Parts: sequence; structure tokens; C-alpha cells
Amino acid sequence: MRILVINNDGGGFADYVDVDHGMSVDQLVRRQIGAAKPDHYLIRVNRQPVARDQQLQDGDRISITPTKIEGA
Amino acid sequence: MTRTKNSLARLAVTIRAAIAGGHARLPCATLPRTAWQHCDNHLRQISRARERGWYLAAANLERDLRYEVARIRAELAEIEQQLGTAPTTDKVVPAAEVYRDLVTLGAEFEDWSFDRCERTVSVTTAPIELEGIYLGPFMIRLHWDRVRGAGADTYQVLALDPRPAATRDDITHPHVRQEELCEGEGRLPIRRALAEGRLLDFFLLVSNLLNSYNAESPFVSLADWFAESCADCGTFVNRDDRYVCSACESSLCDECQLSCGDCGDSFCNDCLGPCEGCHDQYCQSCLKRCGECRALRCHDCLDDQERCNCCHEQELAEPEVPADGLGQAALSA
Repeated sequence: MRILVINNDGGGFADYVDVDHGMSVDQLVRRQIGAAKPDHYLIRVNRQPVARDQQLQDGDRISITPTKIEGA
Repeated sequence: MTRTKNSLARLAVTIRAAIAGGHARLPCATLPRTAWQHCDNHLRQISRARERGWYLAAANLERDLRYEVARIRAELAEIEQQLGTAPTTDKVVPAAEVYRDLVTLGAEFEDWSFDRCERTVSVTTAPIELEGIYLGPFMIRLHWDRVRGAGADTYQVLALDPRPAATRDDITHPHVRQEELCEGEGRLPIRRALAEGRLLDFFLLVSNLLNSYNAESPFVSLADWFAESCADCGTFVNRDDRYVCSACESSLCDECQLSCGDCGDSFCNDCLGPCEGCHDQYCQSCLKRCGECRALRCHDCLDDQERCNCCHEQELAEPEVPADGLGQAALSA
């Protein structure tokens, strides 16, 4: 299935990706952020807060925004 | 649709059109001319300050120069990246997505508003506290007609309950100066979110940045937030450790505070003066003028008749005139 992933970490990334049916929010987030801790990110699916174990649906929009961003 | 939804839908269309424009978009690349001009001005001012011995002013200007240099570096890095990668700024979201972002702002923030005349959308954050220091809520005001220009004035960060640094009232947050946020590592995702019209992401990124503290490079560190500048040498001194000049009430560090040789109170260098006899330092209250020569003297250097030692000795050296001396002198003449 196809979902829109918006990763606001680093340089920012917004594009459609293909994921397996049944993939959970937590699984996708971990794939996106690598070794970083999921607790350090604000996760929204279709602009709503969701449970980490919620399964993604085709056409979902998931945004991943770091909660700690260092200014200069 | 209710009236509110209608107005938001029209707003979304307006904002999307302003961001996308009516023609193929070029990458948003502007040379950092403003920051360059600021650097030029700061260098000139630093040179002038050093020539005049205004070292405190020079130190403050050097801090500002460091910020502007970092800003130039960041903006040039962004241009380099845009040149090196496929342009993503053409991917402006549809008006429906902008609408959904606007609808969600009320759920994510304490308050939000828009102004069609000023072409702004604003959100209000919850009160921000960093390392125990209360900074108050902030308003993030986005000018949607400036997004395409990608300049520093695209949005402002306004303190609604300002608690600025003690030494700089234009710094209301460790990373906000004159209502401009220093984005640091947030710069690229913020600019990308704006270029693509993802308003909710933009406001969340700025809000999260305001809720973070980078101790490596703030305008004023939180450790020095309540510190004041020593009036004599310019170093920061915490409120608990500072001395206060008893005359002019300026703040002083331990090194610069001076004691009056008589009353013992603390004073700055400008509020103490020398006794012209012993050359020790005294405050204005502890110096008196000699009744004869008007020279400033401390208590110990004046006699009971408020004459300085010199005048006292001079009087002792003058020969005594006898009681009938005046008559003999007149006859002699």
C-alpha cells in the first residue's frame, strides 16, 4: 500500500512510499529514524495523534517531527 | 459547509496560491545580502569601539558578528544543497491539504488566528520554560505572502509575556533575537515545510525548536539569563554575586568593586575619587574641601578647622605678628 511519509528530521523528506499491508506506525517510524529513539518524535497520522501499534491504511499521511531541535 | 469552514477553505486557496505562484517555480535561493551587510556594519563598529576603548561594546558587537557569520554560512549551505539536489520546492501541497492543516492548528496550539489584510497566520504556543526559567508563551506569525522570498522576515516569533535576558531586552528566548528565530538545525526542514505549503509541520517545527535549548550557541545562555554586565569590565555577574555601587547603583563584579577608604561601602571606579593628600580612594560623601585651598581631602587629611595639612603647616610657618606690631610698622613706613 502507498502512504505519504513526511519526515521533518534532518533536511526534511516528504514523499510517497510503498509499505507492506499491516505495517504499524511504530514499525514505519523505526524504519525512518534508524537508531534514534521514537520518544523523541511527534508522530501524527492524518494529523491526529495515534497509538504506536496502530496499523497503517492505504493513503495514510504520517508525519514524524523531532521534539528536540537545536537552534543556534 | 458552515461559514467558518468556508472562510478557512478560501483562506487555504489564497495561501496555497501565494506559496505556489502562478508559474513554474525556481528554487527559492536568495543570497545572504542582509546578513553580509550586517557583518560589514559590525566590523566597522567593532573597530571604532576598540579605538575608543569601549571594550564592552566591542564584545557585544563581536557576539552579534558571530551570529551573522553563522547565518551567512547556513544560507550559503542551503543554496548549495538546492543546487545539488532535484528541486523539491515545486511540490506544493494542494489547497485541501492547506485547509486540513489550518483546521488542525486549533488542536495543536493554545490559540491560532489569521489576518487577511496583513496576510498572516499566527499560532500561540503554551508557556515555555527551559531549565526552570520561565520565558512565557510565544506567538509564531507567518507572512504567507513572503514564503516564496524565503527571507528572514517570512515569519516572526513574538514574546507575549516577555522575560528577556537581563543584559539584552531584545533577546526573549536563548535562540530568538529581535523577534527572529535562529533556526540552527531546524533551518532546512522549516524552509522545506514552508516551500511545500505544509503549514502545520512548519508551526510544529518552530514550536518544538522554541521548546529546545542548545547550550552550545545561544544568543544569551540560560546560565547568564539573569546575569548583569559589570559596569566597569563588562563580564557577566550573577545577581547573587554582584556588588552594587552605593552612588550610581550600577552592577559590579568582585574584581571591579572598590571600597571607600572611610565608610567602606562599595563603589564603581567612576564614583570614587582620590584624596589629594594621601591619594587613597574615597566616595564623594567622605571627601571634603579644605577651607583654605579648596583641595579635596579625606577626614584624616583635614584638621579640626577643616584645613588640609599643607595649609595648616603654612599657617604654622608664618611669623606671629606682635600685639603692637602694626603701630611700629606704620611709624617705620
